[in-house]
Amino acid sequence: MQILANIVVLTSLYALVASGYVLVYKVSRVLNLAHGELMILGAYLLVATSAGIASDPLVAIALTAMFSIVVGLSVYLLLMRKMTGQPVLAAVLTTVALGILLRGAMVLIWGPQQLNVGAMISFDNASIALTDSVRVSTAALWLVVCTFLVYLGLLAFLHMSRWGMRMRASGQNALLAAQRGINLHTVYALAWTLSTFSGSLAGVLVTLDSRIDVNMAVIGLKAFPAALVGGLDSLPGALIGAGVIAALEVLLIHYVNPLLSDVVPFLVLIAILIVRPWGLYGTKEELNRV
Amino acid sequence: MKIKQFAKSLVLSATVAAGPALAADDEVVIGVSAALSGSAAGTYAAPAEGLKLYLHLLNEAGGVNGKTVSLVIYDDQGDASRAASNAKRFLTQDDVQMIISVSTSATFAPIISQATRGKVPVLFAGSVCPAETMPPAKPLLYCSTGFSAVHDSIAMVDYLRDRESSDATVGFSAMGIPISRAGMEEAERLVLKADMKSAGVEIAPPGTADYTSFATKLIQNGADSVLSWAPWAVQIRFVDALRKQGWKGNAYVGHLAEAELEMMKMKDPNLFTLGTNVMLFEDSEATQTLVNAVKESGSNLHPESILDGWVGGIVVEGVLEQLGEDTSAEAINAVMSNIEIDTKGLRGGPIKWTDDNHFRETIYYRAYRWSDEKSAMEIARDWKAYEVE
Repeated sequence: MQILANIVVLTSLYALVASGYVLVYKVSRVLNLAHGELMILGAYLLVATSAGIASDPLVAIALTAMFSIVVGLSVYLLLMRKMTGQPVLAAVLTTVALGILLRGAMVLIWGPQQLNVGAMISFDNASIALTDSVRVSTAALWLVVCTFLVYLGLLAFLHMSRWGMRMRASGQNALLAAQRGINLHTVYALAWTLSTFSGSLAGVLVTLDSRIDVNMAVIGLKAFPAALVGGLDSLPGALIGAGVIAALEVLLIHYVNPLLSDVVPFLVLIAILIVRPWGLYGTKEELNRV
Repeated sequence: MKIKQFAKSLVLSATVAAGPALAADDEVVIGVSAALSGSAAGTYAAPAEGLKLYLHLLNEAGGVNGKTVSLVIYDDQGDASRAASNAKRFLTQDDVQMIISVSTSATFAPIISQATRGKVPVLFAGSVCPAETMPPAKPLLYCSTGFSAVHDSIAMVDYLRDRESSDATVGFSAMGIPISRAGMEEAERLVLKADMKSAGVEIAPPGTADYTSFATKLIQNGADSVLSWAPWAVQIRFVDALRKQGWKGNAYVGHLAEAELEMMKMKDPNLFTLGTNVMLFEDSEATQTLVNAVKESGSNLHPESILDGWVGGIVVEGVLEQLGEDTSAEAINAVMSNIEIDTKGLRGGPIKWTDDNHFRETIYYRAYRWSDEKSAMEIARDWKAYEVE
């Protein structure tokens, strides 16, 4: 049962990160390869707010959420907006450059050493007994709850709200959407903002569960197979892809060889790209067009 | 905030790192290849800072017997090809008399190869000690670093045997890099030899984000205590993962640069570190000098994190003290191959190198833990000497 709990927690982490990839890709067809760095930036924003503005953990987390929205919006307005209308490859390469820039800046500002953010904001990451034999940490439990709420919120937003429908329409046919009066820049800005917010949330929660250093951006890379296996333009697909990758990782660690846990998700990724390149739940037509 | 400190650090570098053009007869030029950026910087940037700081202060105080040190520092990012290029520059452009490595083991081979060709001694100060420095040591290669996977493992198992019951089951955690695996596999061998049981060696690949599943496996294998030797971030995340699952056994980890600060935050009385460096809560003259130097330099680094580099500086000072008029690489190597350096209270005893032992003849280990009663760090076991064979 503990193994199952580990799978659920890891699925939640990968799914929360993968949702950021999906949101931006679904709407703008851009693969944001700086998503891991944006995720860790969210965690470092928590360090900054807790050290300089708010000592109360809840206030610090709330402020971090606000700042992450500002970061997402700024990334779009200052950088990605200029890429609108340019080849997708140019936009993807821009995100690679952004990732490298953010990584360097974070080392310069917060140093290369790992930080115990939980201790800094007096967050008690207590072990919680779910049953006699299953325990998870407080932050891990929050991670599961937040992922559930984020997915619920995003699905409701995309399917039931006016702006959500505009986002989906822009993703399906940007030209037609623009001709129907949808402001593409607003839609794209919204997608980048929501994506950065969900990534930052994942960054904050994973940091509270352990610690932070710049190398934690690797989580973004590990969540990428999850997004692609599920289908890059499908939120439910990302959730299922995350489940597949997390289950594989945990089971390999437990029953086969831990060193394989790093490799096999990418083998699955390659296999999916060969057999079903649009992912388990992605749209075939969309990927062909890309 | 840190940008200002970074700028200060650059100024400090400039004052220590006069280039070869400025080198004079009374100046010993030392090339430093360090992982100042990249994924390994978390472990190596701070000791490199410690080395720089010590030698800066030494120069400010007039050097040793009129000789000052000029450091030429290049970032190798823990990457072998960059280290090779650095080593080549040291020998062909900078004309260094000694090389110091503060970087990952991946950088050792190119540095050793270039230094051997140029007959320039190499000091590993903050880098893990390569096997070539252990008996029978290869010429030109020396190590002053406080940690060593195999020796630390021997001391950790010895301490663990003192504390745990004779039928305890011990789990091991390592990172998927050769040095860490070697240390923990040796520790497992020693535990089994002592008729204790093993819950297995869990090896996490580099870049692992979540250690929970590794910890689950050790808990389910019945580990009463866990022993870990890996980069600090890995060791401590592993302990976190165990505690998150309600595991209450004793954890023994290697005493690395960030240990004191982290343990003071964790306040975990069942977490022990074994290592060769002192912790700075001990208010001695040596620790005060170090703490004050860091404070006055304006660095935001925790003084403990620079200690291995600082000791490297002490070693350079010790070598200069015994160096005569001849400051050539050959003369420096001759001094280094037979020397005893006083570590000024920052370790349990001196660093002594002989012709066939460039690691140290005797290595001293001390155990530390958090004390709930004192609400402070405490010495769990005082210095114990181990002969290096």
